[in-house]
Order: sequence, then structure tokens, then C-alpha cells
Amino acid sequence: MDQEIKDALSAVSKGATEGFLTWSKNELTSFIEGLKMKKFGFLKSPEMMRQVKEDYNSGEIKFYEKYVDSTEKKILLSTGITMRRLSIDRRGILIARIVNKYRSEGLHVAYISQNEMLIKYLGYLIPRVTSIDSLKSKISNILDDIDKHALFINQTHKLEDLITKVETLLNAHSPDIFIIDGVGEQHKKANKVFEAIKEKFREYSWSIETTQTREIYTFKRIN
Amino acid sequence: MELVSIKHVSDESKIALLNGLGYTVQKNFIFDSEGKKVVDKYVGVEVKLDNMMILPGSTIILDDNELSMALYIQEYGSGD
Repeated sequence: MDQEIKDALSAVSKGATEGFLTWSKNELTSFIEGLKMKKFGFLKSPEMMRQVKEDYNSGEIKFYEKYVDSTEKKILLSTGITMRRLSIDRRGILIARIVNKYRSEGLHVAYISQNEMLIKYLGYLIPRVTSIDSLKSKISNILDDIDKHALFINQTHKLEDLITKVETLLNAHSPDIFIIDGVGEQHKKANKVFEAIKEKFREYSWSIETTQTREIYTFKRIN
Repeated sequence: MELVSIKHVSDESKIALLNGLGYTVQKNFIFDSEGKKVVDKYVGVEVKLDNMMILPGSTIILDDNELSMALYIQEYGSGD
């Protein structure tokens, strides 16, 4: 690469402390040519782009690819991994973009990746299937109908409605696994929903996972 | 592909870059040569000067967010 461009790139990347805020005409011309020749990309955080690439090409995604054919689901699962690392503000913007494109259902697929629940789904399902195709079918069933397998509680949810919803879902669909996820202050509602239903559905075993930021209640069908 | 941070680059330089690529800027929104607002092809939002990415591959202008990044990588590869 031309030394003048290397110097310009170095100065740009170092930012305001170097007092380099304005590109010269030569630099601008070189950057434009570089864009056309696919040499450069310009964005606020190259580090974030590298992180997104890393997540998209991660071992976790390569593992999911064995059981998930959908490219859309792959993007959502990868984005869920990226969400683990983001600040609250940045995550809020990303959530808005996901919902804009994939609706709340897409966001919920990203969430089960973010909180590592898909791995737990697989761990439950693997001993209970007799073929890879059967496993893929069950995973596809979960991801395509995520809201029949998971409940992500937010501040707008009313407790009574949540309890009714979970009871209805478990009675109507008998999912192999059902997850109730309460983030932050919503962990209190999640706990109350859990307490209200745990004795009503004896065909399920349950487990609780508590972290600093959330509580996740997992119901697994006993068979 | 070399990734260049524009976090600290002046608006004037960013606008000059866009002008060189055939785009204009008005009130923080980016317009193409036909006078239409540039919309992120992946997530459907109008791209703003203060939150843009310019990536190669027919010179794509996108909203700076991790979903657009992932979809770009899916379409164009890692570019390494």
C-alpha cells in the first residue's frame, strides 16, 4: 500500500488526539479509489466489525450449522452471540434493528443464543432422538416457533397474563422444553410465574439458573 | 480489506468522501445521485452521516449496527 495512504490511515485511526480530523485532497482521492478497489471500509468501530466476523465464524456457530439450515436463523444466532458483548446502549440499537427486520420472533431467537439456551436445548434433545434428521427437525421446530418454547418477560407484561399464557402454551403444545427468562427487575415476575405453574405441570422437571442480571427457569418434559 | 475508523473524522471529511462517491448530505441524511435517501439494504433504515458505514462491494453505505455487519459478512464474506 502507498506510504502516504498508510500514514493517512494511521493518523485517522488515532483520532482527535493527533489533531487529524480533516483529510487532504490526495488522501480523499486515494480513499475513494481504495473503496472502489475494495481495499478499504469506513466505520466507527473496526474492532466491532472484527468481533462480528469472529462471532459469525465462531466454533459455536459452526456447531449450530450442523443442525440449523436456515441462513436467517444463522444470522440471528450469530447476532445473539455478539449481543453478549455489547453495552446496554449499543444492545438497545441492535435490538431495534433486529425487531425492525425480523420482528419479535427473530429477537427471541437471538436471545436464546445470547443466553446460551440453544446449547441447553440440544443437550436435552440429543439423548432423545434417534437420528440427526430428527434432531434437526426438532431444532427447526423450536426456532421457527420460538414463542411456543420460550417466554421473555419485559416490563409491559402483566403477571396474570403471563401465568395464563404459560399455562395455555404448555397445555396446548406440550413442548419438550419451555423457558421463562426474566432479565433485571423482571426476574421477580419470572419467579412468580414459575411458582404459580410449577406444581400444575408434574410432567415437567424444572431447573433454575440465576446470574447477576437474569433468572432463567427451564421446564423439561420428563420421559 | 483495511477497516478505517471514522469515529473522530470531521463531518466535512465524511461529506467530501460521500461527494466523491456521488452522494450528498442534507440535515444528516445521505442522498444518492437521484436525490433519494440512502436506505440500509439489510435493515431498511435511512442512513445518517453520524451513524454510517461505507463498505466495499459496489460501495455499500449502511447503518452502523451489528446486524448489518453480520448480513454484509454473510453476503460478501469476511473480506480478509
